Amino acid sequence: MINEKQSAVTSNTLHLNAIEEERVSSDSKDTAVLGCVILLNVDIKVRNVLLKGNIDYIEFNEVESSQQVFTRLVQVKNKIDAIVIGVAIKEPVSIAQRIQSVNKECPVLIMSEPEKHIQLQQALLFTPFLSSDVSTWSTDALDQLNNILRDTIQRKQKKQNYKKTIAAAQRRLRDVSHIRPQVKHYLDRLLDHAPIGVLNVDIQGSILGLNRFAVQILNRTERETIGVSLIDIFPASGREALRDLIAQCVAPARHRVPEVFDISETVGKVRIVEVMASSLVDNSGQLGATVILQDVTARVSAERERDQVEEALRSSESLYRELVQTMSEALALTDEKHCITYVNDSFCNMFGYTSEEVIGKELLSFVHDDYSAAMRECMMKPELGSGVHRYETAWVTSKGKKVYTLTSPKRLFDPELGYVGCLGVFTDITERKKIEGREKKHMMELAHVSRVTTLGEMSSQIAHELAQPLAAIAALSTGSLKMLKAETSDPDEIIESLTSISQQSNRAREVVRRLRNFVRNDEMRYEKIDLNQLVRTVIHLIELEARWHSLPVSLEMQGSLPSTSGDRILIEQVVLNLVHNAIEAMQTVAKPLRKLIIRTSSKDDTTLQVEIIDSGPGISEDEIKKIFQPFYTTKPEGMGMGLAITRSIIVAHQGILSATNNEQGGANFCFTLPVEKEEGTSEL
Amino acid sequence: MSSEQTVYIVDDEEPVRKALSFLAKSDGLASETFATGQAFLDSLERLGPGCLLLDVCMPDMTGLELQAELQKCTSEVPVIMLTGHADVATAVRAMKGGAVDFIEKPFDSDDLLARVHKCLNREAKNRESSEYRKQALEKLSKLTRREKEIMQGLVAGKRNKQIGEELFISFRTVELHRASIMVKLEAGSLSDVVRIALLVDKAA
Repeated sequence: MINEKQSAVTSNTLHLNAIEEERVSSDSKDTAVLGCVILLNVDIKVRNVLLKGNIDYIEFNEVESSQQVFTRLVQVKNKIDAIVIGVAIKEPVSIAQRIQSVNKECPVLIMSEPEKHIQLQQALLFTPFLSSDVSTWSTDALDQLNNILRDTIQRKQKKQNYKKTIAAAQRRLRDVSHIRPQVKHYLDRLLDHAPIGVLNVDIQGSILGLNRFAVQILNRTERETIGVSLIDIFPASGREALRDLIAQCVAPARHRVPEVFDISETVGKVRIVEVMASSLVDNSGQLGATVILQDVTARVSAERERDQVEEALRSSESLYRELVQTMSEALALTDEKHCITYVNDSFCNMFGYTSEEVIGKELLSFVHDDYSAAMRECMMKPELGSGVHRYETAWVTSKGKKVYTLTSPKRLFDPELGYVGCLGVFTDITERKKIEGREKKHMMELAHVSRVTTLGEMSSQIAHELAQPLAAIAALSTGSLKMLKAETSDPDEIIESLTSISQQSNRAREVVRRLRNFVRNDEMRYEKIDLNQLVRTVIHLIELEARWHSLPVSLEMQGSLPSTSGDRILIEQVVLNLVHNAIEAMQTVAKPLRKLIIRTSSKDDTTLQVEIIDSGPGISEDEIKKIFQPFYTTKPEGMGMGLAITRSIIVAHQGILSATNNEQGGANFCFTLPVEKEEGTSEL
Repeated sequence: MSSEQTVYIVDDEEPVRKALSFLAKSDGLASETFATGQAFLDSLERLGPGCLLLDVCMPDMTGLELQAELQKCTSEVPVIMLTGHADVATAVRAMKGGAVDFIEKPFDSDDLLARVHKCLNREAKNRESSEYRKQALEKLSKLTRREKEIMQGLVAGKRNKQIGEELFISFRTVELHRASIMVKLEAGSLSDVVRIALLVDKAA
């Protein structure tokens, strides 16, 4: 049996070496080998169980004697994960003791016969210098052996790793004490560069030390501050509070609130600091405080600025409120249903109501009937109110008076709700309307005078114009009578002459009608005007004068000219005046050279233009500046009002009258009129 | 006498021309109308005796211009100016230019006719007197120089003897010449001689 064992040992040692090599290579191959176990004199039965159930790649080394175990333990130290001692070994406990004395962490499993198992277990319990890693296992429970062994190996390895970690930590801890002075230096530098001031003071407030920023905040050198009381550096007004703050540090666990001090007074520049104190215990156990100063000048001044802005805003708001309340224009706010929500004093004064009487009522209910439809339309317009559209409105006051205003509405929109109401500003233009009315009346009167004057100048032509048909009528009627009396008449001839009489009287009547219309003195009446038609009418009036002066009149009318609007008679007067002037101007020119062109055109989409072009001597540089002035005339019998009135008529129609000289000689009088607007809104 | 005379009408407006023409016809007067002054001038040569109703206010050639043209070609047709507007300057120019009358439109038709008739009568008379004058001139041209001298003496109311002394001829010779003058001038008495001499004088 011993021989057998001997041979087995030899072969097993070889095997072990092979395993050793394999293990090195397997390490490099990174094959998961659970652990390395030494089997000391393990009987064949146990060995088979172990090898058969070796699913975890446990590496087994078999040795014969305990001496070999110790040698291996010394050689490979911690690489042995467990040792199994066979049943045949005597004194297994002392061997385990020795093993543990070499390697305390190495678990030992002692195989025992079932009948000795309990006894051995107790022996282990009471044996000194054995850790709990030494245990015993009965040979009648071999089926569990593999699991037990695996658990043991894993526990051992875990313990070993843990110890390694602790060892590493301990090593590092050892280093800490070496770098402590270095850390202190870094901390000091950090403090010096920190954007807060840090001071250590004793309980009386004397400065024991401070960082660079604190020096900056206090605006003095370090030398000037060490040993000096911080409280004295603060202005008198803040000293009590600061003293309290430092004193509070002595009493622990109190909620500390930073306080803000203005120390501008004592540090010589604008500086506001927030002070926070915490207790400080130095090595000697003496109490003091660490005071943290934070420069909040910028923040506080920003806050102050914001306060100022807010204050300014508040005052400007109240100023605006005042302004709105007292401004001379009436102002009203309406909601989305056009009901009044706010009115200012002027609104009340202008319309004679108190604000209580109007608020909540529909704004339109105060508008004069003539204007309410137009205003309703303006208010209901669906498009977003961009830009200011002004229009004229008339209102009825509480006393029933009619007040005209210029209305500037601003429609208010909310991005979510859409139309939320309207802000209306109303300027009283009643007085202005009156003045305008008077001015308009004056102009109308002047224009009338001018028309009559013009007709006076044309009287001989007009007389001729009437004389012709009357002469014909006189001749025809006398002739007819004579023929009838003489009874030699041919009825056809009499009929013909009577027809002619009728025609001629119509002609005379037409002249009279035209003249009467022309000198009519009426209110200004706006109507739609076809400029081409109007020019033709005037040419009828002027025809004779033109013929009298042997003047060919050529009309250059643009076809399909848009219509304009205005007072027909006034515009006729303008054309007549200009044509009349042109004819007079050409009297000094040889007959074959006389030529008058009247041209109508649309200058652009919104403007129509009428040009009266003559071939007269033109206008001199001097005259061209004066011709539109009242009482300037070149005619001996002229009043000098013609062109002045002509211009004021054109201006009243939102047009422009201008005079230029033609390149080929003669003058060009040109006036413009606006194209009639589609909506036909009333002029202001 | 009127039957051979024509009323010429120049007016640029047809209704007026027609009316005047009709009026003339109703009064038994022949008439001819022209639309322009130039048309009248162009047919001047073929026109018989009569009078001209001329409108002042016309394009191209006014009445006054036509009048001036007529004077240039020594036409003797009497002109009645018609005007729609009577300004003094025009009237003066017309009258200075030899118009016999100046009528304002609108006119009284009877008045117009009366004036036309008056004008035509005068024209006829003028035409007659100018006929006499022509004959007188013819007769006078037959006289010798001496006979003309003696006739001047006679017209001046001098006696035969006085004329003889002034011309250094005998009283008898004067009587002979006088008889010859009477024959040549076909005059029955001294007063006939004086009338012929005055006609010629006026023409000169």
